[in-house]
Amino acid sequence: MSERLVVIGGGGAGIAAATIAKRVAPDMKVTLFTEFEDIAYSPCGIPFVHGREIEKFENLFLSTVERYVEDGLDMRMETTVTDLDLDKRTVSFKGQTEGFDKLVIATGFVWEKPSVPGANLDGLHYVKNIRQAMEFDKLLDDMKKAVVIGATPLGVEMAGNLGHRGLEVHFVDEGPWALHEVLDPDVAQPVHESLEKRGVTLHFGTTLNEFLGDGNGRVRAVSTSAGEIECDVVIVCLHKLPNNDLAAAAGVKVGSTGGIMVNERMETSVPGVWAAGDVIEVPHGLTLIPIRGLTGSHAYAQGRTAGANAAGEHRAYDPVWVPWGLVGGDYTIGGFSLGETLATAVGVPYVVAKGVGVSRARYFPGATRTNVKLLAEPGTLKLIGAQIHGGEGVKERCDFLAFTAKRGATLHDIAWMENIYSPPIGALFEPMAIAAQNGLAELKKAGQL
Amino acid sequence: MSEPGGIKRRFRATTERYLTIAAFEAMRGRYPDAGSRPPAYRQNAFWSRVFVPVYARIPWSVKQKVMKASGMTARGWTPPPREPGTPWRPPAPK
Repeated sequence: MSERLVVIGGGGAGIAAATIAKRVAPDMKVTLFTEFEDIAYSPCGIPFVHGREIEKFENLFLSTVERYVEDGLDMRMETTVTDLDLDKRTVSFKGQTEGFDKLVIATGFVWEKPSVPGANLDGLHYVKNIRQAMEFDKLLDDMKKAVVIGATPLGVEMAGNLGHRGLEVHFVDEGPWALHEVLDPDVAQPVHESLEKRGVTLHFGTTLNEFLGDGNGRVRAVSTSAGEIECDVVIVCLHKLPNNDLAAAAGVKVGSTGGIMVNERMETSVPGVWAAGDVIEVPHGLTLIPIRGLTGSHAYAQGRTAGANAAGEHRAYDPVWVPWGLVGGDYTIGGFSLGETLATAVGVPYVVAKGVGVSRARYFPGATRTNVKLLAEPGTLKLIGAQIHGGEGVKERCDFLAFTAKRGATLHDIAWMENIYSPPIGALFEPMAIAAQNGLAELKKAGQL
Repeated sequence: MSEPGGIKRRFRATTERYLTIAAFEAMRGRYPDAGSRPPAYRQNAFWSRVFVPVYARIPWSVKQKVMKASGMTARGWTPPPREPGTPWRPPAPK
């Protein structure tokens, strides 16, 4: 009898694990369980359909259930696994029980809910499921005022997109600036300006007190430390929490972030059980402190590692340097690893190198300013983080810097790197090199070089 | 009795919260014109007035050792060497 692999979860990590396992071991029986009706779509694109930058939700689908069935996967759609017995090696669902030899847990995340009165009122919307988003999008046509709670990446995208759609948007967070958990205030400033241009009113440093109902069970306003904000809808964009109840109840070890602990092969504490995606924690490349709640590309890569190893290969996943980026309003921001705020909080010593360049030849139409801030380890000057803001090319620079930092590149390496000069796509002076050169000059001036 | 993992999670969440709030204030001082607002978090005096200043005085190398010894860093992982010039290696054969 062929070996049986069960994958729980149909997001990026789950589908990657299932498809790679089947590819590596074609004789393996691979069964994927998902509680949802759909699979293989990009939830990250949902805010941009609401903002009408993407025409329709159907464009977000990347594949179909039928396609995976053709590839040999046993797809159990709308089937929630309700119990997991790791001694008997069984999963339970819809009153049935089925056995497995190997298991990949990719149950993803659930949204943190606000812990204030009124959090169960109708009219509080969470962005996750595409079918709910389709229905919600129709309702948005008749709405005028929205409150977005949580200055997280999703919060910034939802606030900017609803503003783009023409709604009056109020953006509320206790923190001091947008994306304060990853972004430095100097980089957040242009994001604030861009959001305000889209009609978003910022309420940072503002405590959420209560959601106020209309007497019929629906939210009509949000009570905050800065006063009451009337609204038609509230979009809740707080933290992603690992959806680990099933795994933890079955005895899989959970770490200091609440995510499932895995080693570099994505193996959990239980032999024959792997995990991947938003439900796990992985170490940060510099500090080796476990972190979680990363991007879809991290989830997919972890799923591939878990699936390949479950199918008998020996693949390792590296600690993460977390390149990230997003569009806040009309402005692109990004970075990797640590910014000044996070480095200060953790207590990691650093020196800063800053510079401004252009994304293509300055005379070429469409050129944008590219602001680069590099963080390096004092002494060795090895890169440990960066934040970049501007227009085009932010994403590629962040990917590049994360990779070079992982390999130990220093400010010296970046200062004298080669770069492409071609007027439509690249300027003579690379902005990252300008920043590194400036940083080295400052260190020399300060007698630290 | 609380399970050990739960205590570790709560400790980490609490310390992260207070260290981050202190970092916000440091950044607001460093970038006074960036348009940020004073954060509105409720705070406990022990963590903000005792833990944060003590943590700030401990050198990073000592913090790293303590984190490792207390199991706050990941186990079962081999970070790639961060030495310039170290060539990429193909995965080990099965």
